[in-house]
Amino acid sequence: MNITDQFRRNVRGFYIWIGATLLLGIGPAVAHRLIERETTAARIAAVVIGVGSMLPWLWVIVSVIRHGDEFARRMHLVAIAIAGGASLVLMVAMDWLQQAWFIKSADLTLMWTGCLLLWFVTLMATKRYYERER
Amino acid sequence: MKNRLRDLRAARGWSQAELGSRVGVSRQAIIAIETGRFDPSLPLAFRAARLFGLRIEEIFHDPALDNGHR
Repeated sequence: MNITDQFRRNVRGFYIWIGATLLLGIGPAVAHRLIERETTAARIAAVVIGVGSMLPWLWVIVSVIRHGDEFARRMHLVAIAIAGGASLVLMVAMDWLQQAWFIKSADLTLMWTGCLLLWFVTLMATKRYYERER
Repeated sequence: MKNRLRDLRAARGWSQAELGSRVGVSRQAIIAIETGRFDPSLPLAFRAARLFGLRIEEIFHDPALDNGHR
């Protein structure tokens, strides 16, 4: 693949990523609106939209890893491993904070957004680590 | 693993993106290899060696061998 084709593919991938990220942001907002209607159908739709809005973003990530070269795969593997460990620590910390009565209940929304943020931060940090001169 | 990729690339006047496209990886991969943070796979090392007309050990070098470690 020449540089022009690669550039075009990267630009297309970037737009798809932007679209998926927008869906990831808009989905929960729409789901919240639906929950406020309080009907069973609206609540089911809220769950479907809330979970479903995340899937395109995950598909983009999987696609990036599948079509990426060996370095992209390594970078994502390292980032996901660190983010997975950090997410586990976050969940355990929330659990113990709850058990020790420091918080009333673990906020699941805060937890999943925290996990997403951790994933993003570790990906950026991993990228920076590999680009830094040894 | 140390390597001479940056020097060899510069000698030919290639950008990192250009070298990447010649050996079938991204510019980021070339950056990571040149910084010495990422060791390429054997197939990629062979492709780079073929591209520069050298043997793998003429491009990639294990510093541990200099210290007598094996």
